[in-house]
Formats: sequence, C-alpha cells, structure tokens
Amino acid sequence: MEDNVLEIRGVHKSYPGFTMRDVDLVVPTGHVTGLIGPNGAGKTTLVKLVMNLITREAGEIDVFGLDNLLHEAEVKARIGFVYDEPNFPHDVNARDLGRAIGPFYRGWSGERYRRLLGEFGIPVRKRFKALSKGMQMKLALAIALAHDADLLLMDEPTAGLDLEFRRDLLEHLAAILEDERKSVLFSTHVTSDLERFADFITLIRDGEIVFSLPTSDLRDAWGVVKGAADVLARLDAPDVRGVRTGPHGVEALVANASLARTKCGPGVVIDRPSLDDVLVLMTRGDSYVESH
Amino acid sequence: MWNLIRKDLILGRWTLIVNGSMALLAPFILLIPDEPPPVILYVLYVGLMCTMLPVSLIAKEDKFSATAFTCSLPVTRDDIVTSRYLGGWFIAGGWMAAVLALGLLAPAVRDLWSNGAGGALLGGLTMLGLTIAIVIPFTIRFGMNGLLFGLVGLQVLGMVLFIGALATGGLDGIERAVKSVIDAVGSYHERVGPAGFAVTVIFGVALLNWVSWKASRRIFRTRDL
Amino acid sequence: MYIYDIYSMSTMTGDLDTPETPRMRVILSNSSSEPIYEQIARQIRAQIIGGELEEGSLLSSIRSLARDLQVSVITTKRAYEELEREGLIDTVGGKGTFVAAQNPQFLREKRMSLVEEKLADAVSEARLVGLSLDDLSEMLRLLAEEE
Repeated sequence: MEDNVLEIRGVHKSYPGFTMRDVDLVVPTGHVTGLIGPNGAGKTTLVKLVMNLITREAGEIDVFGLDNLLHEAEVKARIGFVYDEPNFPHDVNARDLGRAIGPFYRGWSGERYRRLLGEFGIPVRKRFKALSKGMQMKLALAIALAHDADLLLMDEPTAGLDLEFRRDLLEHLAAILEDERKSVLFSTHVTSDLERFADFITLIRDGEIVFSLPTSDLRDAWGVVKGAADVLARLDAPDVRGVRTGPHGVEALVANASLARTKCGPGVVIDRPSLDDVLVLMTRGDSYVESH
Repeated sequence: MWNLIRKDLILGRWTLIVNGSMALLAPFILLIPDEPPPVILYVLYVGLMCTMLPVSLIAKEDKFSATAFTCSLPVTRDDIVTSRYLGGWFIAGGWMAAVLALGLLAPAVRDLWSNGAGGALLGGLTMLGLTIAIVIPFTIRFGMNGLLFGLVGLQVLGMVLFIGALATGGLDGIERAVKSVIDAVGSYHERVGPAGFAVTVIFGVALLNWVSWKASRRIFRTRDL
Repeated sequence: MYIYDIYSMSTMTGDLDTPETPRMRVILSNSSSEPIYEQIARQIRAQIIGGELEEGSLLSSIRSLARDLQVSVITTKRAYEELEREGLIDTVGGKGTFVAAQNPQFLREKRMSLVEEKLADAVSEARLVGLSLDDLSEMLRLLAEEE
C-alpha cells in the first residue's frame, strides 16, 4: 500500500481570471485531510483535476500510486466522489440511480445503498429534481459511500446540510477510517467540521497551496496573539502568518505560540487558534490585503 | 462500456419508450393516404424516428448537465465517447430493425416491400450512419444547443448561398454541380452494379463513423466539465 | 463543549481470544487549553497508574479509539506514542496495544519526577512574569481545587 493516497506535483490550470500555478500536495493514506480556503481559491478546481473532469495544463497527479489519466477507470473505481453541486439527471429517482450506477463498481452493495438511503431519509421513488438541496447532497453521499471506496473525495459535502446530519456524516467517515487503507479528502468552508476530525489541513488561496500541516500542529503550536497595536513590534516577523486590526487592538496569527509568549510577556493574550481564525487571518487579514 | 449503455437505457427509459412508440406508429401514419408511399420513404421515415432515440438520450444528458456525473464514473473519457457511438448504433439500429420487422405483420406494409427493398434498406442505413457521424461530434463539442445552432446556421448559410446565386445568376452553376454529382453516383452505380454500390456505400458510412469517432475522442479528451 | 464518554463503547471492542477488555474511560473537553492528545494520554496514564487498567490488558486500537472519540487518528496516535515512550504501554505488531508490565512503585516514582519537572517549569515561567512564591502557591491551590 502506498504511503500517500494522492500526490499532486507541479500542476497548472488556468481559467480566465484564475490561475492555479505549481501546486504540490500530498494526502497521506489512512487519514482525513481537510481542504480549506475562501471561495474561488481553487478547492473545486483541485478536486475536479483529480477526477479528470477538467484537464491539467502541466504537472502530475497520482492516485493510489497510479497516474490518474493513464489509469483513469481504475483510479475512479476506488474513489467515492461527491461534487458540491450534485448533478444527476433530473427525472430519475434514487432507486434507478442505484441500479444504473451499481454495476460500475466492484465494491457496490445494493443492500448498503438501501440502508444509507433509509438512514439519510431519502425518498426512494422521488425524482432527483423534486428533492431538496440537502437531500440531493445526501443522495450523492449515499452513492459515494455505497461502493466501499478507498478514497472519499468530497467537495463541500456538508453544504446545505444541518448540524445534526453533519455529525452523522462525520460518524460515517470515522467508521470508514477505522480501516487504515481508507482515506478522506474533503473541502469545506465549515471549518468546525474539520476541527477535531481532520488529521491534516491544507489551506489554498488564489490557486496556491499556502500550507499543508497536521491539524494538531495548528492547534497546539500556533497561536492567536491579541493585544494593543504595539504588540506586533515584539513578534518575530517571519513567525507572523496573518494580522487583523480591529477597533480595540490587533490579532496576529503566529506559528510558534510559546516563542510569542516569551517575546510578548504579560498583558498579551495568546489563544489557541480555531481553524476559522487561521482561515480568516491568512486570507482576509491586513497583511494579506496589503500585499494585494 | 456495456455499463454505460445500460446506464443510459435505465436512466433514459421513459424518453426511449415515448420516442420508440412514436417510431412504431410510423407505418400507420404512412398508410393513411390512399396512394401507398414508395418503400424508401417508409424506411427513411422509420429510420428518422429511430435515430431520434439516441439523440434524445444525448440531449437529455446535456440538458441536465449530467456529463460531469458520467465522467466521474469509473470509465475513461474514450469509453464515454465510444459508448455514444455503440449505443447509438445499438439503440437506433436495433429499434429500426424491430419496427421494420413488426411492420411486416401488416399486409399493407408487406406490400410496400415488393419494389426496391434493397435500395430502401441501404438508404435507411446511410441515413442512420450519417446522422450518428455528424450529430455526436457536434454534441460532444458544443452540446445540444450547439447542434441546433449548427443546423440552423447551415440552413441560413444555404439560404444565403441560394440568394447569392440567384442574384449573381450562378444558380445554373449550382444546379449543374448537383446534377453532375448525381450523375457521377449514377454512373458509378451502373459500373459496379447494385452489390458493389452497396458495399461502397456501407464502407463509406463506416469510414465516416470511424473518422467521426476518432475526432470525438480527441475533442472530448480536453473538454472541461 | 463536547464530552465523550466511551466507557460503554470500549467494553464492546476486542475479540474473544484476546486478553480481558480494558475498561478505558476518556472524557474530552474542547474548551480546555490542554491539547486533545494530552487529555487522552493523561487519562489513560492515570488509569494505568491507578491500577484501573491492569497490566497486560488490551487497549482499544488507535483507529477505533479515534472513531469512538470522534477525533483524528493522528491525535490518538500521538497519545499512544507518548504513553509508549513513557513505557506505560506496548504495541505488539498485529496484535494490538497492551498495558505494559511495570513495577507500581517504579511507576509512582516516575510520575512524581514528572510532576516535579512540570512544577519546575511552572516556577521558571512564574519567575519570568514576576510572580511571587505566595502567588504561585495560591495559584496552585486554586488549580488543585478546580480539578
């Protein structure tokens, strides 16, 4: 078994008004990797590139150690894919979809599919178009989970879903992860879904990977320094990842909280950063805005 | 490959049933007038209704932008293109054969075949082959709307040429050109005989489909969904 | 704040032919400043030292513990790695993770030296911010009462 379920090297892709340049990303097998970033940063582009829904201009993508174009069918057979806007033919129902899709996958289990439909509360005979947005997403998830995929590749799978169902979904994913050969890569803007659950976090911004780190590093080593404006002067510049100035002081995201603590001394609050802090400070903070 | 065609059959079965039944009615519609039509007209009519079956499937997928979904299944892009051609031939050709065979049950339809059966079959086959070879690359590149625009565009172009020809007095030239093509085909027919002509036409249709298939694969490989 | 208690769940894991299933109890707090892996390690450690988890008993696997606690695999892995480094547990390839054979007296001493070490850290940190010994002991007393 490969150490990395997914390896992306030097991938380029450009659209009018958007460029993804030289993207490198490694997703380790047996873990959950969360892809976060603002809208339009390239999350969907990255996921679509892996599925060959769009063609890359340069670079290499290996899934399960296999090139995703040379071994296209083989690779996709082991991926459970959820796209942020599920688009099945509008006039078909869940039952027919299962019958049409099942034979494509060796690991497909009709029984598991029916169980998931029941569990998710999806009406079996209702046409796709007549389902609510949330139900459409649940149907896409049921299909992705029904064929025992080795990699679950999901683009905003929790969009439009209530908190309760998001919890259920995480439980399903956690159960899958009990098998160390299974991996999950999902993009989301609901960072709380990933907070405790993701092993690795990848932040993407303007078509570039900003970092890819174990979540525990972010939580335990990084910090949000909060204080008066002059606190910035006391921090190590290379350590500061993002700054936001508010009416009552500044917040600075630092990559070494304990160093910052000794540098700043008393009178300064250093909090454990939430993923939301990281996302906001690194993509919407002052320094980022200034440099653009 | 078979899975892709199977998927289309399951997901598009209502479209197929509606369009397929309409093709079944073809013999009866043609028998309404007192004068029975020539058999080639009958075959072309059935053929036209049957080629609508695969075309309507492609149109449906395009309308729901479900191509991305198809592409996410464990198949290659080439598989998807090939399934369009094979599925097209399988569905349209199969249903055409079935409708023509069923038509034989009616004595009035059976009578139609007494004259020019071979030419009619060849004509039906040619139409089927030409439609598949032209429609599929178009829909793959431009989608269903692209195809419609393309057809309308061709018509407009034809009209412009026609009016242009009228204005410049070149109409005779067009007529001569068309006539010379017909004459050339006719003399070729005479030279090689009916069997040789049929072989040539079948070979031509097959070649056209092969070229169209190759081109479609190339086009589809780089399409972003 | 989410609190997970896997007391009941962990009693269900484990095969019949493995040693007696441990009664492992882990409660996590999201609002605590203590890293989650540390919370897990601390609680299991306390149960080993306190004798609740007996020598040789099989612990939940890294992955099933992660599932039960709804935390990432890396988190539980780190907790186990830390306990392994301390010699409290042993991982036998293919069989699972067991509570290591230890002399209880030795364990206690080891823990005490760890406490000492952490207190030393606290003292030096306190000095850095100018806390007096009284302040520090007051702080310690408050913390102890809080627990």
